[in-house]
Amino acid sequence: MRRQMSWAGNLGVLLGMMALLLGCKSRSVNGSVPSSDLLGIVRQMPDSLRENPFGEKQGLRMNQTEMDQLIARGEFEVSEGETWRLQWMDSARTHLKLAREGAEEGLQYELLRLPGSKTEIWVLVLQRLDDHCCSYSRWALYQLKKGMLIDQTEVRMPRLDWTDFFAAAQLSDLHPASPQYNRYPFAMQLMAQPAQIHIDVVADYLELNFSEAQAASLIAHLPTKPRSLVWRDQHFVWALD
Amino acid sequence: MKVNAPENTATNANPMMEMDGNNSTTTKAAPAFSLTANPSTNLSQTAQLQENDQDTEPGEAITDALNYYVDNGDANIRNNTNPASVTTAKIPAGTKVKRLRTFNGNVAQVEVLSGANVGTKYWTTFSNLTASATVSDSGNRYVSYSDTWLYNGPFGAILTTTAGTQTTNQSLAAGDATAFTITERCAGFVKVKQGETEKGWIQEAALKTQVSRDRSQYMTDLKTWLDARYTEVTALSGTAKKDRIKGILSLMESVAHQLQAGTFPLISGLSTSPAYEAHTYTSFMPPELTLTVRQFIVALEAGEPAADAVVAAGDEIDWNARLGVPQYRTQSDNLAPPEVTCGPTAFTMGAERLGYGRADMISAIDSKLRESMEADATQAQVETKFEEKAQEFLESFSSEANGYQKLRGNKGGLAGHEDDLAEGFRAWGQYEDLTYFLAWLNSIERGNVASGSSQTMLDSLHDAQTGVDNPTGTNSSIVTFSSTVTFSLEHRKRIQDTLAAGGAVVLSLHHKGDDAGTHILAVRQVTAEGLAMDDPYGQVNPGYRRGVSGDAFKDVGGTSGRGAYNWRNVSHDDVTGDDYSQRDFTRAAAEELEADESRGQNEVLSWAQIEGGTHLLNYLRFYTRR
Repeated sequence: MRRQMSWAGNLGVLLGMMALLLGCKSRSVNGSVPSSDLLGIVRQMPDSLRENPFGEKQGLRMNQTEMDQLIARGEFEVSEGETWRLQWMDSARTHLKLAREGAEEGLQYELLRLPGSKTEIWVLVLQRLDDHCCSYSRWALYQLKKGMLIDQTEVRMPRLDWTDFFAAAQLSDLHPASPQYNRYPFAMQLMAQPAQIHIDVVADYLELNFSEAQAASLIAHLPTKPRSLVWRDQHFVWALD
Repeated sequence: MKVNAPENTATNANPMMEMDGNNSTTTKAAPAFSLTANPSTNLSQTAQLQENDQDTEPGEAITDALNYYVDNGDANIRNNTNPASVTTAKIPAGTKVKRLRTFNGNVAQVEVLSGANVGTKYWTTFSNLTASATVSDSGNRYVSYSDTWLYNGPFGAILTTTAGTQTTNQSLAAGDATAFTITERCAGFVKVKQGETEKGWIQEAALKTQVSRDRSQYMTDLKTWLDARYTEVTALSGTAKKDRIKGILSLMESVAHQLQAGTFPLISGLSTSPAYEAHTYTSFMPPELTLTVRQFIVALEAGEPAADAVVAAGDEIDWNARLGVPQYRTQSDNLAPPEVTCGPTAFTMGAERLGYGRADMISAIDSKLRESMEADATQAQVETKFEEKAQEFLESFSSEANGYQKLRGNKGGLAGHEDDLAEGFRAWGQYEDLTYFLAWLNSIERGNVASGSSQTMLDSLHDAQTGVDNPTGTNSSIVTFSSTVTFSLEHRKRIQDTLAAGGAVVLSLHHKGDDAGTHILAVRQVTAEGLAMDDPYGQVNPGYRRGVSGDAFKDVGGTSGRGAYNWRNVSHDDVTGDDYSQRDFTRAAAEELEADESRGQNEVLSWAQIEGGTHLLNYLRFYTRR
């Protein structure tokens, strides 16, 4: 038995190293095996994903007891008038929303189990913050494989830039700094069937963060509809407009 | 609230009739009364439960003079021959009935008195019914709100009128001129008539009494009187103008003091050119007069004092706090990031309503600073510390990721000048910026200033004002709205009562259509049409609806930034000016706002906006006076 465990451990290390070499990150929190159930993913989300990089308030930081209460009751009051709510978006339990309500800043996580093979489970986590004027989003894409949670975000999700929304000619004189990776100043909406991420440029963000002339120029050329990423061949790729 | 219906004593008199649930076959013993009907008839067991040989119906006849209304939509009609069993049919909610018979204690036979089925008899569970009471002399009532809908009965549907494709709710017009009397009352609903004309059922909380009506009429008359005085004031100038304003304000303080004691001073007896009088008491303006009295204070504080001006009695008074008339405060001119300071700004207006002024805030900050200083620290040392910490506070915004989250939204040319700003912050800083400073010193998140941590903030101000370390207060409370807790007439009344007692109400609403994110503002008054607000950000577009894609501060359907529309307050700042005491973010500049800087005091959130469709409100926070 001891020998088997050692063998399994070595295999785990080997797999982890291979994943790292391939540009993926694998994790297994506190030695436990991530559950394929979305609630299991919520429980074991890495701390970096629980954080709120956009706003003033902390993110989804709960101890195990509080998390149990949120899951059991569907809500957990973190302070007077400020509550985390948990809601299944479908009966098959493949789409889960966790939202903090009552605060000036609305923060939410959406977890969506993506179509894949029986042995490969894919889960997208979309985090969104809505403050007084703007919206920010980031995402993480996990592959659950042989008990390992493998972060495939950098490999299978695109990096967004202003050029995804505006023609190069409109940006050439403005030279806006690229949106910060994983802290996109865009409003994102997750659709489950088929799996899509609708992405909107927020006009107020442009107005408040660029010079008056820059903002006016960009807003005049705002995309008339959201751009969308679709899940295809285990990647999120731009949908054809 | 449910009106208690009388107990069915007949059932109690015959315990042998008790049955278990709805199953008539579970009768435990033979009935202790005679059987009727022809023995050859195949009687059901229920039919055998006849008390006398003349009555062929189940149960017992009962004499009940009360009228009842079906109070829910799940009132099952029970089987006529066996009332212990239910059918799938329902009696509509709001149906008026009288009780004829009783069966098994909790089942009643009723006769319909209203609607299409008048005269029809049904059996139903007695707990589906709520008794009404006939009212003989209720006194006059007046309609408070423009959305006072007429119902087809208590618990019933709103009556509507259809013209073409347009269906509108039927309602009674709000107003103090038309008196109604109540003829019947049932669980929060009342039937009213105007003169001898029956008007129908409405919710009683939408009515005001003669006393409330007289009070509101008095306020209307007093407002008219004040408007005339304001016209006279604007024709004056210099010392004469300021003296007149101080006289009017001190007179209003006296009037408010009498009103709070229950006396309504004769308006025609008020001096039209009163002189300032110092009072030892304090009072607060009725919410109906806030906007009117505010304009006197603005006129008093406008402009620089003349260089040779002599300080006269009453000049040092902070009239906003003294009269509980908050200055309209726009977050657009805040030194702290204007886009994110609705909370501290709304809280400050609430604090001013409670009587806490800027000087109290300065004292509260000093007290906080002293906590980390030697006990014998001098005031000069405290003020040095104030400046040091103010610089830290102002510099704290530089690490924010986005421009609008930085000092003055990164558009004031202030980055790197925090030390110079801190030097004058104590002297010229706006009250709401100081509020944020105190919150920062207490590690309170800005989003919690007006709500979750408001008690701490209020306690600090109260201690500063009273000069003693008081016990923790309990004068901040919250009502949070959700899918199960929605805004009601009771909330309107609580807002009205809180404001009328000199308290303040802060409100959080969802301002981004169907997106998350909330905005915090101060309630000024409950009106017939909705809630009159002091919105620090600007005026919510009356066409805005929560749940519909859009933004409260844009035109309906607008997709540009808020700056492209005329709802958000604008700021007028000379960003090149390096004399910070003269800039737009100072207390002096904040006392003289242009019309486009103060759009938010024109805001009325209509009842349709608040209660229609997906609900607008996030929470109400009530501050009461200590």
